[in-house]
Amino acid sequence: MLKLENMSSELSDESELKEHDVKHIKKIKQAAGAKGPAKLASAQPDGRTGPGCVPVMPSEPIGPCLPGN
Amino acid sequence: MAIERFARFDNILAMETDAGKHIAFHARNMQVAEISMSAWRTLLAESAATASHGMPLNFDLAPEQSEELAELRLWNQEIDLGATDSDVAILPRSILVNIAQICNLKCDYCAAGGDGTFGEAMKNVELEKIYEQIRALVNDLPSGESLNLTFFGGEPLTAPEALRSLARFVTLQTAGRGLRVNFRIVTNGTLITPAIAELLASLRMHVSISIDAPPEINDRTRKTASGRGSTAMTLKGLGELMKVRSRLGSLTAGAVFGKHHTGVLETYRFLREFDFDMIKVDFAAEDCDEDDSRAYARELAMTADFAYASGGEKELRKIHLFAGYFNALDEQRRLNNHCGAGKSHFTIDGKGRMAACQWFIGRPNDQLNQGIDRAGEAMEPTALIEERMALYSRRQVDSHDCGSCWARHLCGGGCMYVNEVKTGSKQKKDKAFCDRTRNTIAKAIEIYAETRKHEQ
Repeated sequence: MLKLENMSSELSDESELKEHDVKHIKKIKQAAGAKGPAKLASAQPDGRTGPGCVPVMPSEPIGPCLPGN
Repeated sequence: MAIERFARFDNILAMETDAGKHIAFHARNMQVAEISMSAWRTLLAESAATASHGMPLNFDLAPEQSEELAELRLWNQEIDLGATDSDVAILPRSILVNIAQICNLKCDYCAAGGDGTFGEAMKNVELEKIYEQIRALVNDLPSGESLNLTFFGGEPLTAPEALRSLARFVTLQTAGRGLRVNFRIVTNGTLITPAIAELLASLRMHVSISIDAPPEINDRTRKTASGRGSTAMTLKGLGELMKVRSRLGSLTAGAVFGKHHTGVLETYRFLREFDFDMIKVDFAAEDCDEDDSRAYARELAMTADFAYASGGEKELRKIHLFAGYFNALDEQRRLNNHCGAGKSHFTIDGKGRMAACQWFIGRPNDQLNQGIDRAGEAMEPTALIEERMALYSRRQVDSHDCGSCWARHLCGGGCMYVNEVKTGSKQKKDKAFCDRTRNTIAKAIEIYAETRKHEQ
């Protein structure tokens, strides 16, 4: 893992590189695409629920998964 | 689509698909990128060098590769301030209650004591004790919060009056406090009559129906006490729910896989014919389940491809795991917990005893409140046992020792129950769980790259 104190100069180097020189890494724009049914917007399980499955907040895992994943 | 090979360089995981695409994931920044063929080859070389020498290779690279290496190293070191940590506050925002500790089914793989009783059969739970614990928990919730209350069992619909009473109690407890309550139920669906369907609709219930597969498979493991298959009864109940569909909060199918069944795609094809908002596909961990775990993971990846090919992202997101991964990637959220057990999620059994997770119910050493067994004259039954609560306070990615696993911030650290079943310790990871989770996350990243690329 990197140490934060070493980062400032690397960040500025990196931003220059992004502007002019990056040829091999094309970052994908990460933004919301097609969502499920609108009614689940506030109740959609956040990834990890199983039978007993629980709850659900839009931005945070809350429920425990069940016997499994 | 299928992933053929992986390469790893510190924070960067890269994969090559059978279509010749190269996708990379930055595990700390939660970024996804397409990389060139030459960058892929460089990563492969770095990956191999790191594995064989313990240090990245700096020399002996062709001149044209050094440019790729420089880009990869800068990306590896980058800190994206747009990526944020998603932690779980210690606040009871999810309460699951056993309103019955009996079940009219006897499924082969039941994790609730083998018969829905958690080892202590209760048709009539002690509601006053449950109320007391809920009151103590809800008192801590500040205005503006949401509370998820899940009716669980056993089969909760063996006790509709308890359900009705508890819903009324929670509504009154939270009224006028600026709290939003979502009611949820996990049921086998076999007891849903028109009157029960109306009760669920009146509470705008989020309903999860447990059904594993088409009848010929489901009937083998999800049986009544007398040994008959239960699928027809479940589908009849589902039919009643469909009549009140528009007034339900949501409708989910919950399928459990494991040694008894690994055919995720077959189940998905069956379930998608119904109007479910969400389909859950969970793996029930057992001893010596490594082969079945791999089969499940392969099936789940095929299912994801099938869902995406047939209905795009919207269809894929109906499979709960992928909805979660996509949400985290969209928001570049580092998940530091696999679940909220012991932090935001608590369970209460039929006698008011509290645990962090429903699968810890009925185990005295996992009880988090004093409860009826331990409370003395000087201690309220609702008082928490602080030293046990403290066991859940750390981030799960830390307490489960996820180290530098590339998938840690999409997995969140893994399931404590599975860990315990497989390794004997809540904090000691199960390799099979980690393998199938990484496999599924890699598939999610692969499809995510495909969907977002098309948006640009």
